[in-house]
Amino acid sequence: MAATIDLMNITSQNSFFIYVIPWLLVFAIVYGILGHYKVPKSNSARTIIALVLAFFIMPIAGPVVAVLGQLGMGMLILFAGLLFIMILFEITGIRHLKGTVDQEGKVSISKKEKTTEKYYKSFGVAIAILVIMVFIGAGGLAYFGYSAPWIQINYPLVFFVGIIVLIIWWMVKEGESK
Amino acid sequence: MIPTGMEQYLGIDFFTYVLPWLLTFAIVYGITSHIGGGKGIPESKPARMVIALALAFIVTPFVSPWVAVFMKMIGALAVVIAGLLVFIVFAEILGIKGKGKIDVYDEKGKLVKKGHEVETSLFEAHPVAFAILFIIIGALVFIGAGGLQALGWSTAPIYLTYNWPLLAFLIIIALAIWWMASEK
Repeated sequence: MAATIDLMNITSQNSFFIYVIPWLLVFAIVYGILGHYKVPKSNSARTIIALVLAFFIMPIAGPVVAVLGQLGMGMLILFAGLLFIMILFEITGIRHLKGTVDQEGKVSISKKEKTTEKYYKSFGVAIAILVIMVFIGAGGLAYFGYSAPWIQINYPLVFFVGIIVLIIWWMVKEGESK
Repeated sequence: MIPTGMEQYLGIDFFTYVLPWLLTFAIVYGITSHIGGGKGIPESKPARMVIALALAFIVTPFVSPWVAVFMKMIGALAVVIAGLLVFIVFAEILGIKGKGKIDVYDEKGKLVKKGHEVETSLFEAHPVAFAILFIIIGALVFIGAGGLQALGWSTAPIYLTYNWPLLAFLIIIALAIWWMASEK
């Protein structure tokens, strides 16, 4: 495994992470997106645009990599947390049932909806909030020049109060629908 | 956090660099290929590969110090699933079934009856309650594994992150309110 350590050292010493990788990333994104929408039609023009824009990232690559790395790491950990919950949902087979009655009056279960599908708005909002928090935690705001003293919040407490509010809202909504 | 003995065979860097790199690459490539109606965004496969490759190289050095978070979460997942399986086995042995209430529609999709009682599994009978329970378990495991520190959210009073009595107390309050409100 010493080979791996050497590889990491060599790549970081040669500014592999600071210059080459951001250049490659921007080039791939710009070239891929332009190719996706076929704008402009000329492939050579698209290549040159992507190449030039990729070079533009180089002077500011250091701070961009720092934010991107933190953001990616945050997203990865958040993804692992969400996956944990999804696995629990799936392993227990939690489903919201819906019945259908036929002409003879016999009731049968016709639809089994996933919790994330039934409450997609709540889950969407929750995930959006979490992603914004990860972005702020990764220094995304600071990168854009916004020093925000208001983000020094007791996040664990806010997190759990949020969960409690969600539970109460959910249960009140369920109560209304009965 | 690295399993003792295992690193002698695979090397510690296998866990701290190779696996996070592979995980990031797989997630980014998987998501970029999944979106856009299955065609992927961007459509070009090499472009998606390069994006995933570059992002994996950028993210890996930042993930490496937090590999323990993943390990703790996986360990907790195994424990929670084992516990759930025991619960399911006991429920099946004892023949415990739940009585769920469902909305019944006719063949044209018109609501015929609200709250029709059906006998089904416990998880299907009380989907919301179990979903909330799993979200809380997931949040507790996430915090316990150090997920909040990894995300940089615990710059404010760090002690609260591990203040389990307070967390348990908050959960009990929430459950009490739920119980009271759901009572007819």
